[in-house]
Amino acid sequence: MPRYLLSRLLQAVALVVVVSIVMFALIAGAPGGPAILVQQDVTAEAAETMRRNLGLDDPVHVQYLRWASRMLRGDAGVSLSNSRPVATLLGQRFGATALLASAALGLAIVVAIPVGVLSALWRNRPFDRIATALAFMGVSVPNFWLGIMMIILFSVTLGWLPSAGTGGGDAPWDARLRHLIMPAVVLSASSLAQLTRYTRASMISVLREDFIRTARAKGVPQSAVLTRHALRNGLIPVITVIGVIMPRLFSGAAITESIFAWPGLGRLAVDAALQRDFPVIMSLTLLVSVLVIVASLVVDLLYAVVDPRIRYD
Amino acid sequence: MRRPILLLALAVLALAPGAMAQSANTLRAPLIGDPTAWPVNPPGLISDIMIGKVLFNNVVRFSFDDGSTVVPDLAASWDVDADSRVWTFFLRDDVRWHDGTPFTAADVVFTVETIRNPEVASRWRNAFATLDTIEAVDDHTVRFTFREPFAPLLSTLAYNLAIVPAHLVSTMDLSQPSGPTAFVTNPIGTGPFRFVEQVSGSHFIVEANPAYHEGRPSIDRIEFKVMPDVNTQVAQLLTGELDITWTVEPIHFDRLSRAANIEIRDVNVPRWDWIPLNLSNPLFQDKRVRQAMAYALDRQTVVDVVLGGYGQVADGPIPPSIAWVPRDGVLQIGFDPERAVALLAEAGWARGGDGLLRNAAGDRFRFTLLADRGNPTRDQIYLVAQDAWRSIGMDVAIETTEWNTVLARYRTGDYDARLGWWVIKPDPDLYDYFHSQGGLNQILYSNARVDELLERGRAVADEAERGAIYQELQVLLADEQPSIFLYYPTEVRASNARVKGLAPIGFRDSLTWLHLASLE
Repeated sequence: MPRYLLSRLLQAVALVVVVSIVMFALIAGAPGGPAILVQQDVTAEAAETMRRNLGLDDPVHVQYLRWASRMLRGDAGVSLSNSRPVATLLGQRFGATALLASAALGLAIVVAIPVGVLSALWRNRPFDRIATALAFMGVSVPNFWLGIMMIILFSVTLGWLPSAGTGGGDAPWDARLRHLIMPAVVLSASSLAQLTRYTRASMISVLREDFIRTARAKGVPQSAVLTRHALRNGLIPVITVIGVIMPRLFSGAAITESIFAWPGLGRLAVDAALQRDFPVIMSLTLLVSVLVIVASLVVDLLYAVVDPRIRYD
Repeated sequence: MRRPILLLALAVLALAPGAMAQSANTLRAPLIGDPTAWPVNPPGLISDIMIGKVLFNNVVRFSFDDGSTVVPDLAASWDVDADSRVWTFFLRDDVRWHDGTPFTAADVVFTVETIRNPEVASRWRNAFATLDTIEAVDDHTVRFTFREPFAPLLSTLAYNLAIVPAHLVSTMDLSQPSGPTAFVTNPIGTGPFRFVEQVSGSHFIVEANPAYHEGRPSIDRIEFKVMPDVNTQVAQLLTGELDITWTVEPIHFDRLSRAANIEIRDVNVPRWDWIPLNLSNPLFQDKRVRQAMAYALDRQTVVDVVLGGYGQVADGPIPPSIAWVPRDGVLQIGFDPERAVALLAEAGWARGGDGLLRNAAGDRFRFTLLADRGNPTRDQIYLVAQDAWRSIGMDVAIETTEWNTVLARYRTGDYDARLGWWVIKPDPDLYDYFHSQGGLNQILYSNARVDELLERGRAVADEAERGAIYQELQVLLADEQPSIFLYYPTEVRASNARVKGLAPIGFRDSLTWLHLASLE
């Protein structure tokens, strides 16, 4: 196990370096330029001065090495768009994103696994058909539409929930929870639907296995067959899907975050990309890469826990 | 198992309606992006300028009533010599920075010198191109001496030109284009509100400055919420979570006008929207061609349908909100496709059998309209313009990319036509935009008479005389149609009825007067 972990960590470091080089090259090659340099009321002369002051005149590899050496010293730099330290920006946004992503993921797991299991058990019966229809809707309905519809219904018409924001840093916990509900539901919609379908498919195939038939033949009660035998095996592919969904929830929530004015990393990533704010994009890329790597490592390690056949020697 | 159920029950209880009370004396207002408090060179512009209006003061400002007359701000009064070259400002002696340090003439000198410093690359630098010296005569007197007469100085100083504290900023590194980190993370101004907290992507909070020299504001706190989505802004206004939206998109007029407790106000602001043409492209170098493009475009319908009637067709770059410039004799280009075809024929462009325009050499009239995506108003205008110009035989393609790329290509001249606008100070001094040496003349327009008028307009102090000069400029530019003038949009804002005493002017300058507003 330790040797396996060490080799995975070494691979991770190499991967992060490669990702950072590719990302830097992509930003350097993108059309346009840092927002502050291209605005129409900035004169050509002013733009030239700013370009020079920011070191953007240097060859790309020099810029990359300068950025990397600062990064290695723990200095993520300041945003080109607003001069605030990148570490502060990421720190402020990470909390909001972690809260929203965990709520969405939690919601998806809590709802999708039981619904998927029941759908598999009651295959092609009314419950399964309704769950299937809802799952397809969840995958197909765009987030922005679902978000706006929920705002119109629950905020504007019924007045039950706040329409946007987090409630602010000093808001009481119940106010913050109320702000969290709609964005979490919208963000989880497609993951929830996906997870339901995976759970259902995986459980159906497990329920057909010989060992389930054997357990039933031995007179094991249905609940024990499900929890002790079927679920344990059926969840292995589901864990993989959760591993894939998790980083997506952290970095890909830009639309949900924009609609609900949620100050998360997804929106920061889109804004930084549109403004070609490369110190912010680079740090975000690193953060998300690490999240993906950690998530996949955790998933791999979880395999060994749920499936005794898998060992990392 | 018991604990999660208890938590869930608590959560359901918390969902009971009615917990969205309005914060008693806090004004909640939206910003479309994270603001940066660096008035010397506001990096993201609109949000930065908005918070700058409440944190800082200018030397002079635009009046509460009409938004164009210049009235005292940090300066209590001023003098100017006969030929508008030497301006002396007498500053208030009761102003303090938010950290308690007294404000003096040195702060004004430092701010202007910083803006003039080429290394700072300030977007306002051009405004002082002809400034010879600026000096602090004493602690409360500042003198500007220009090399040439400079009549628009007052409107220049009133327009977005906030004064920053010399005692803090002078020791900071000014080479960071978006401002020194130490200042933008803890901005200190002289304004009616002082900085409290900023959370990226979430909010920017200011509170009333109890020692404000014009008296403590009635509003205790302003929570500027960062809300990029206009639909969300409107929803929050309807639910009472926001007190105001600064600009309302035409698609929301109907819903908001039906809502109880919402007041809608429209204001004429100094702005024109147009389709800038790249005049280095031989296609657009003939005035008749440019006029034909204007005649072919039904701009009144654009105003009526796309803007919901909130606007006026533009005849030139000087908006009607600058009322002291007469508009007699300005060519009015209506919707007249036949006239457009005739003008094109005069310019040597005739339609072939395929309906497309060709010149004597057989070249097609082919160009690309560089478009961005996502703005509902611009999205419609791109299509209307393409359709109108195709109907007179032009081969117009639309190339869609994102806004940053549109701007970058515009700046480098890598475009044929695009959609743009300028929000200007309420003064017809359009030197930067149309003078052949103007720093913002990105369409590369050059006309000797226009240059001469723009120079004279700066040199003359008398308003009637200036009015006549700029009238001639407008007549000339309407005829020349250096690019296609579209419309002067009306700014529409919507606010909760509990907000009282907002200045009835454009939203940027109305923020200057927010200390006079109150909440019921």
